[in-house]
Amino acid sequence: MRAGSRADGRSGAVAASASALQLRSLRKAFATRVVDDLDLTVRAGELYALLGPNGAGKTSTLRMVAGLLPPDAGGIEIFGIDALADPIAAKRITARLPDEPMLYDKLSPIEYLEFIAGLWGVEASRAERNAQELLDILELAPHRHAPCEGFSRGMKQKVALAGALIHDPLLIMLDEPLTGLDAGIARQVKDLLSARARAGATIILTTHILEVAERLADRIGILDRGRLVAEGTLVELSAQAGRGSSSLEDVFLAVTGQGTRAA
Amino acid sequence: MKLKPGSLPWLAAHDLTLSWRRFLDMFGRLAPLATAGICLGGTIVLHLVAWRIMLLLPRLRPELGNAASATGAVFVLFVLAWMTAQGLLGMARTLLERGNMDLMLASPLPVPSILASRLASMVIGSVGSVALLALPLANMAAILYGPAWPAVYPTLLALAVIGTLGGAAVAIGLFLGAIRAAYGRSRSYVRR
Repeated sequence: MRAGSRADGRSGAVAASASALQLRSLRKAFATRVVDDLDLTVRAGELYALLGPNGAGKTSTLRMVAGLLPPDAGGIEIFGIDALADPIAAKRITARLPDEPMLYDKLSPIEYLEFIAGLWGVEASRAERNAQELLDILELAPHRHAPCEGFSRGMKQKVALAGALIHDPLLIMLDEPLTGLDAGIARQVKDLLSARARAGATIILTTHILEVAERLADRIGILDRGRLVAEGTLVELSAQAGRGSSSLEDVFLAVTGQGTRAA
Repeated sequence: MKLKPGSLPWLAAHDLTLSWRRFLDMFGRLAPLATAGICLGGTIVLHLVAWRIMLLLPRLRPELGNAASATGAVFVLFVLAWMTAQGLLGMARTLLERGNMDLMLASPLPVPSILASRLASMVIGSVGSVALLALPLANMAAILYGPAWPAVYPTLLALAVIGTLGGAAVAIGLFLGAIRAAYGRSRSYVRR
């Protein structure tokens, strides 16, 4: 399903006024400014794809939202909670899956999920139920007691994804969740994300695979040099980018100037 | 006894579980009974060696004379330096290996609890690295020369706490200094 049509189809279910994430004039600099007065709003219940060339500030933005990187200036609000003033409350309802997921090789998937559930204070019975459900959906149940060290990258990614979802977060941030996965595992992950979004979770994902954003996302935001240079459904983005920009790739290259840079 | 998830002992137990499994990995695919046998055999051998060394102690004492206390102090300083190095290394790893700390810091657990558990694990690791050799000596000395020698146990723990925390503080200081130096320099050419 394409970005525009999916958003239209869910307009009744999603309260358009309620925002899951609001970034106001967010700023972060290291050697150069990586996030530059970023204003971004993600609506509750939508699947938002954050795109951008390497170094555009996607990962830094998600790290600031997750409370791992203090912004230099600006505000972060997650479901109405000021994440800078009350980070613990914000973290309770948030999950982040990094591009290089952290797994403990010596733990089995079930032990890993128990540990993550413990970190988020999930009640034992609920944690057990959620773990069982996630392991079944991701077809990890036969490996539930095997140490993760022998797993392929795809299996590790699935365990890490299950860890991110074990506490039923309202806001799920995924940094390149499909990189390096084979088609079968990528399909399982995409199906799970779509199901979570249908169930009401808000998902923000960064990806370099534009086809994924095109198929899954309700709305797409494109970052370049720390700034939001374009945002909207695929139809809206195509209109913004102008003539001849029918695919997301065309739009992406047009708004980031990469097409002209390459030429 | 089930530890309360998210508590300091629970986090420390998690770290110890990982360390224990890494230790067991050194024995490859050996059966648990064979692993236990090797560990027990190793402990006995270490104690036999310690027994031989401690038997030499009365002969060394007259030769050392007044230098006996200084020798003890040098030993304590050596152990402290070793544990400081362990603390420095452990904290540097914690700060530079992003994955594990990211996972913990993204959780709603209070940051002080996370750091305290990390420090507790480092202290336990420091104790373990010295205890392997020092405790058999203390045990044999306690049997041969009296009950004062088990004082090595709390002394070792105290040295581990002081050394590890000192080393960790130095690592954090160096890390913050490096950030401040790099960041301070970069501010002049940050795009406005």
